[in-house]
Amino acid sequence: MRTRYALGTVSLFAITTLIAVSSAVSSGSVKSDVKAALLWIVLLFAAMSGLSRVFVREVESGTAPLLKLAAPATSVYCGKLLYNVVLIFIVEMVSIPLFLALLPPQTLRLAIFVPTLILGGWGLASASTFVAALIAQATSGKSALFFIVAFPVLMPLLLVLVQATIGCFSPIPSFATRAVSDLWVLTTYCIASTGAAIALFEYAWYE
Amino acid sequence: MATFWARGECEADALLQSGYEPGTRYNVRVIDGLELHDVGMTYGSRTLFHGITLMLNAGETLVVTGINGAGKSTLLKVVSGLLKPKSGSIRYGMGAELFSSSRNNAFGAYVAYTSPDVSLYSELTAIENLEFMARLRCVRRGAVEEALNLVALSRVNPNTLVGSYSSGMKQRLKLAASLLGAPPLIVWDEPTATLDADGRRIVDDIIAHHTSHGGLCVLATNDSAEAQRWGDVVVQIGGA
Repeated sequence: MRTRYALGTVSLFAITTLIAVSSAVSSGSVKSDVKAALLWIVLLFAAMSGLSRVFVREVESGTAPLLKLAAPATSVYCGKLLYNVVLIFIVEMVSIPLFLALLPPQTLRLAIFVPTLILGGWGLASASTFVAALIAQATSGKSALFFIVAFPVLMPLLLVLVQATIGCFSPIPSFATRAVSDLWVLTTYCIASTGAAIALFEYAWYE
Repeated sequence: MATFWARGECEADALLQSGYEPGTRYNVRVIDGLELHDVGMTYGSRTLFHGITLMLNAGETLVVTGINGAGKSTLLKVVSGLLKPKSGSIRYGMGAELFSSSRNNAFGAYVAYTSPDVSLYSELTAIENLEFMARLRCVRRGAVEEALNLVALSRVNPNTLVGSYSSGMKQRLKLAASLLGAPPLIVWDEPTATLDADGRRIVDDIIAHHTSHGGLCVLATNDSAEAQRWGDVVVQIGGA
């Protein structure tokens, strides 16, 4: 039931934003770099409306103590990460075809675009899951705190994702070459953020 | 030194699996005792309690009483491992200190904890809730039915979501969930607060059965009659 609610919220945000943007601008007048930025802005904010509350719900509904006593911290983090990864992948599956239909790019390099989406989704889910755990224990202002703490963590990821996506949408070959190297940066980010989160989660969860 | 601790998710499996026997009664696993040494807790500049030192032997019950806001629930959270005390230490079982680096991973399997702050998932049924908790605790599926029998909830419509339960039924379910795997240490905060007479009798029975078989209980209550009935050791916090 929680999953259905979260999916409904994030999908509604993604779809309405895409339709609103595409109706306001004609596809031909929007450059590849703007389209790339638009895509990740929509995905980021759609995902954040669901991802940021993954631990807050447990704390506010009183189920967190049961999880703390019944399961190791690593299992809890991995479970929540998996939930968020699946959630963001579903959002991507819903919104990307719509985006490509409403704002079609000049070219589309699927061989780079698909890994970018997968790594971007994983990176967003991994970093935001850990930030969500950090802010869940706060007594007030959780939403505001989430965006303050998440900003420096997610901003580098978002910049690289936009760069890589520009390479996917642009007909210029050198942009594509740069996008391939961006995939390595994204892979490193995903490994580092997931590893750091697993190592540090126990302290955020129990302290 | 031999240790009572289980490290990792399912290393306590063998102990937990043997916790229940067919029927409505469960086997209590005997532990050596619980020792609180100079335990204190503060929030900011406010001291809730300090210098609590006591030893609870196998089969004994500690009852914590005190006025509202005195820190009864906090002490129970400290005993259960959910909160780290500001001072002192808690030793449990065979001498392992509770607040070591892997404290919670190991300790949770041995504590039956519930309090008014704890809730189960309201969007799930009772059986779904208990099966989820049983999977987390590596307890066999049959234990779910036995736990429901124990708190007389086995006849409730299995399709009813917990969100539509009365407060008393939710409390019974929370008690059942905490007992999954037959943890040797019961830590219950105001277990009878929302229960009817039958529910209170069930709680009395569980406590009596648990302690008579060597289990430990740490309970908080505002009812002096319950404190007198349950307690081998009574600690009053925040008052005369």
